[in-house]
Amino acid sequence: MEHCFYHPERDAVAVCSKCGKPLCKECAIEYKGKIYCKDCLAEIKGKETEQVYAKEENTGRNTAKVVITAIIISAVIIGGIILLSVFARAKKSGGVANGEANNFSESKLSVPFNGSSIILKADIDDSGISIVNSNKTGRIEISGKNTRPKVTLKGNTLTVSYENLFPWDSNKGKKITVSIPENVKSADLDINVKTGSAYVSLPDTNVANAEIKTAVGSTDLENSKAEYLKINNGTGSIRLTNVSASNCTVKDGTGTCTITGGEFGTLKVKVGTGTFGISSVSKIRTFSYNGGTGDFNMDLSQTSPPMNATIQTGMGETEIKVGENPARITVTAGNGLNDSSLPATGKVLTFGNVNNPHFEITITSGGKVRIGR
Amino acid sequence: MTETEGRYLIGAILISFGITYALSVANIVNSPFWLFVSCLLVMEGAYYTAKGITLKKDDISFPLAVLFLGIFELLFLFNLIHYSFSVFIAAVLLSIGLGLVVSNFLAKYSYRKMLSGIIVTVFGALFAISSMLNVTDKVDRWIRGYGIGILIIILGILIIFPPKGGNRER
Repeated sequence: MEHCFYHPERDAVAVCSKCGKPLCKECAIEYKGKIYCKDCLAEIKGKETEQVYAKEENTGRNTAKVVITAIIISAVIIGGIILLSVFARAKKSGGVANGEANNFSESKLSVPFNGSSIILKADIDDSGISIVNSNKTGRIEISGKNTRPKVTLKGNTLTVSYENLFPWDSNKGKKITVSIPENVKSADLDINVKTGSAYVSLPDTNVANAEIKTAVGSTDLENSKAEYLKINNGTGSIRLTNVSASNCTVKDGTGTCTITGGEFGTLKVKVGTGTFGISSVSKIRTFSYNGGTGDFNMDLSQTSPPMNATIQTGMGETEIKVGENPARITVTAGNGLNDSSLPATGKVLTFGNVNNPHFEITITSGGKVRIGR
Repeated sequence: MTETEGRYLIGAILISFGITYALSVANIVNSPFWLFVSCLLVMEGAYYTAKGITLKKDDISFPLAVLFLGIFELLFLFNLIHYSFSVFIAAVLLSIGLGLVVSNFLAKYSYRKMLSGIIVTVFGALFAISSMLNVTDKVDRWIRGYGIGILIIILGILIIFPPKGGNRER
């Protein structure tokens, strides 16, 4: 019988599984299913503790590494984009800064308008208004993002006021006024609104070319004159009241389009799914219409002939009132004519003496067509 | 959420708020709310990406997608990319696609993830091309019609066929 290594007077009951020392009942310590002497156990526990400390240290190092890496990446990205935008803006405004604005202080013309999204940079001289950095002469370009610019060009004063779409935008209620020299007789106007509406009023002013483009908002144009007018609207409606243009193109996506008053040389209209109405126009020389699914209404009772019109409508109803004017109307209608009282001769309808100046109208329609005085 | 993650989140919120406040006061941005959101997306995306790489996780595509989305949002805010709804959709698709693709290089490579990422990225690129560039009507119609149609078919085929060695029916 062996005796305990630590207590020689006692009989050994077990041996240490690490060093093989004989151990008495008191000295044999069970740890994780094995028997150890106190020295070996201290050694094993010490190693485990070291491992735990090493692991904790490693985890802490990893955490710090992750956090520092994340902050560096974020700083590089956010800082880089801010710097890039600053450079981009400096590059854009450089042209204006170098330009010579004869009649206005630069601060009035180069307007980094309360933020990054609105640009109104013009260089005005005796020959007209130009955007220096656009390589286009004679243009005022106003572009707004998340804004509703209201543009008024009356006499020699162009006023642009802004109302924002979202409550957290900070441009609300701001206004820019630019006075145009009296010797400038006409100007080009280019309005591009990314997400808002454009309300444009150009009373008593001849605009050589006006181009208005809105994405989801509506376009409202009143008392305006333009040599060339182009309106391109996304999902909102278009309303033209007392607008005159030698050449006018209107393109509307899903909203309604209404034209009241004014006079046109050439008027081209393309409407997607909305309805179209035109009335009280004093003169249209050439008119073409291409419609989607909406209705078409045309009141020519206050319009003086001649007029040459090509009207192509989709599934909606087409209604034309010619008033007391002479007219010859050629109709191809999917669902036929809707008025049996008309002096119809086949598909060609004649009103009054068409040897005089008259309306020459060709209609192709998928839906019903109603024509009357 | 671990203690470190919680502390980082609070720190990121405060830093984003600080950046937003400073740039708003200086009139550099006019959409403070979205600046705050995009800064937070970038910071959180960067954190979880860095964590995934450090701890050698199998998949870090989600934090990468969040990071890319934050970057796109910042580009919109600072007018480096003109915002429109279709460009936003393109940005979301590109973020997801790039997240899946880049994850393969920074974490475990997966053929399936790579292919899905490339498809979604191409989807987003097509949207971006037709929205941002002044493409002709014909090209635009082709992209929005055939191009996207073909990609949807490929995505359908990818979903029908199970991944190699996994998802066996019992």
